[in-house]
Amino acid sequence: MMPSLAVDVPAVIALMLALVACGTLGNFLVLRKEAMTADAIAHAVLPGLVAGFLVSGSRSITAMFVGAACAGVISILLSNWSRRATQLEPGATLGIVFTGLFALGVILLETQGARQVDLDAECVLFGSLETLFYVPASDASWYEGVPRAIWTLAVIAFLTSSFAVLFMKELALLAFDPNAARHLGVAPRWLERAFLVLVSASIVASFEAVGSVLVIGILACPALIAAPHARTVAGQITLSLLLGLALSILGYSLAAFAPRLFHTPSALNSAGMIALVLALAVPLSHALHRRRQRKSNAI
Amino acid sequence: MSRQGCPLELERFSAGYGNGDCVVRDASFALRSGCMTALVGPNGAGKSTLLKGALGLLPHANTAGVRFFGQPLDKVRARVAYLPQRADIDWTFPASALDVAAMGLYRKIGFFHRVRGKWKSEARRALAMVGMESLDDMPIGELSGGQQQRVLLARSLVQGADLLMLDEPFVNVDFATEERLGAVLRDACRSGMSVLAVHHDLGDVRRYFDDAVLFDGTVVAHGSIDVALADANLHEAFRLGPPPEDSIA
Amino acid sequence: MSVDPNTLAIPFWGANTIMVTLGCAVFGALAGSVGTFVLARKQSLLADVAGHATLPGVAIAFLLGESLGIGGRSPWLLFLGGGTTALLAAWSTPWLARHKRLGADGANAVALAGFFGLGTVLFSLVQSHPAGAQGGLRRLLFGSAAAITSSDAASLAMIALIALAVLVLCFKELSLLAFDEAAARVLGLPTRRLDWMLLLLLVATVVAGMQVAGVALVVSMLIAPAAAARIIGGSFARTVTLAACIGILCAVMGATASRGFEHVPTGSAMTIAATAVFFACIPCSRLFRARRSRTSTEARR
Repeated sequence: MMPSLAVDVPAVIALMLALVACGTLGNFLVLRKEAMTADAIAHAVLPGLVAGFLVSGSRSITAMFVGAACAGVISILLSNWSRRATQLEPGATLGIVFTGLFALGVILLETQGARQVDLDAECVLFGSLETLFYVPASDASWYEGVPRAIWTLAVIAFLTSSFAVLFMKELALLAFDPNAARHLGVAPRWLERAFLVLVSASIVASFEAVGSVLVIGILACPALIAAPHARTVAGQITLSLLLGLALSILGYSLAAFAPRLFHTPSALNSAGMIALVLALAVPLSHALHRRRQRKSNAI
Repeated sequence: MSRQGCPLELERFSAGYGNGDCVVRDASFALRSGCMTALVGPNGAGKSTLLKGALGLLPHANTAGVRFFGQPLDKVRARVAYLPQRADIDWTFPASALDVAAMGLYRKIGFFHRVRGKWKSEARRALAMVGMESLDDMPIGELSGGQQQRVLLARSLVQGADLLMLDEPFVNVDFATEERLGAVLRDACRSGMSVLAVHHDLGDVRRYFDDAVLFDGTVVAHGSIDVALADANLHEAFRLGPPPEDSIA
Repeated sequence: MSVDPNTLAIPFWGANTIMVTLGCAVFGALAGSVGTFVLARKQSLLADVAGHATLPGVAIAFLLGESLGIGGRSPWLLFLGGGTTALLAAWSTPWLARHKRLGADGANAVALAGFFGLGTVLFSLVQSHPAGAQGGLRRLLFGSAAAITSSDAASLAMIALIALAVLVLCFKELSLLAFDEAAARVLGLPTRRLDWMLLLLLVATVVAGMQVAGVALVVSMLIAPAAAARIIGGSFARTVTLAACIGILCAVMGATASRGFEHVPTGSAMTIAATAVFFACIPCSRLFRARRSRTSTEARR
């Protein structure tokens, strides 16, 4: 029943870093009402990710990032173009483009994954927290055994959180009133682009931890949990990260320890459990807020 | 302070939403400096599109014919303030009235700087001008419609601009707010500011405005209220032809 | 990718293949026509949520069926399970969206994460079950026409046919609801019940499609053919018919392609076909629109 140093600690660290990376920017996405756009990006980068893997022949981070970035740009261009040409609702064009690219990625994954042992479809789709082992080598320094996914996530988490802190007020204004932000000249193009690039980067970095299908859980849910209780953007981000971290660790522990406790043969999928716990907390948090409001109104 | 030059001059300006149709065609007019000008016209005439297009907020507007104070907008951004329609804004956003008013200062504050006390007191002063000083800590979602509109006006005022462009400032606000907004704008004009406001209500245009631009896809008439809103012009813009004879039956 | 030439030639198809292809075709017709309504009501992303939300229901149905000893693979049991959770999602998401701070976008994201998260958790139980197959989850996610039997295909075709019949019978009421809900209410139509009917039709579509198009990709068969038909235009009835035809085409193409190429999931093939048709229709739509506007100006003269 004890958490093990080799398995659970790296997994929890990877999870926390993924949550910081995605959860911070997720707040702005939720404020911009673009959470589903992020979900679409998470699906659409799959072909680029797999292509990057196939070209480089390994899980090279750079190749996968380049591939994913290309796919992300293509998906955004395609959906913007088709929306303008057809005047359908944005959700429809977004849905068509991202499922199309995702399907392409799945075909690449299934046909090539059958040949390449290293490319595991389950891992790309549902994450592989369970496979992040810490193997300390006896003769080398401690950091040699740290899984590479953790280093990548650490870098991305640092980048995104410092980006959010440095450009907090501009990003908030851009979400609140994009016209005013553009008119005042405080939201230049590069800021919006940098934001999108960082969102895509955190999605790609997190797919190893939670999988591409459930990134939406750690991206949108923490912000939505914090939203009814926050009075400022900074407050919302802080609260969302604190609650998100606590709840995702709860989710991980449920997935990891429940089977050991009840002696069921299998491990539960931890990415799914984390997404489930986070999603359940959202209506709960909104209901709590309502009850508190009703109480304060009664007084 | 230099106030010379026409605050806004449009020359054959066209704008649309990129699907081939132009909502605004060949609009040309020049605002009188230090005046309150109303932009009036029927629903769907493209009044908001004209405003947004002139400010470069639409990707498919050619702003070559738009001159602010005789210069392109990028040179004089700080001197032009914009107040969006209240419905364009997400009022569930986690921000207080003071936060919103301070947004008008972001350009002056600059990147990497926090909103410090000096800026906050400036924003508070703007809130006081619109009678909102006692509610500066209130989340914007809990304000009434009129109060929200006042906060938006405070955000435009705090910018210290010489031209104020407002999109439907008097829509769905209480009477007290309307009076207050009107008075604040009048005072601002007296001190040399120019105002261009999209206005929907022909009935009370005269209460607040000096000039009017009558607009229906393009400029129908422009001048002082009495000239621009002469009956003949109104009939043309609102297509109020004589009633057809068979409509009585 | 190895191509077996026999699979592409119709005379060599067995009865099973023909049955499955027919099932796919009926599903394609249903998806295209229901999709037109989904698109008109701007519920594309809700359809995505509903598709994903079949996953936990299927897992529960399998586990229940196994533990009750009636077998976890009966198609009707799986339809019932998947349909229940999909309906729950399709009903609860608009309800969640009414919270001011959540909005449609947030509600979709929460429902997607919650239902799909639950689905993957339950599926890890299914996969450790002695009767559960290892690759079963991926087959269900992306669809596999090769894995279903002719009786599966017959049952999904039956569901799709019933749904199509309902759609045809209530066509004018449903189309008024999709076009203008307020007008429908003023006319005294039972909008509440019609609303539910559309939700049930959506659920029937994702349930019929989950084995062939896959729960993660079924949404594209709903919206892409409908969007393609929509941009070509015409009356609503014509759009629905056209969408159904495009749906049949894409479904059959997808099923055939996944038979021909090893490891290509049926749902992915259908999705790519549908996306390709949609993008091919965009330049065509310009021609149609130009022709229509010309004829209408001539008529005005």
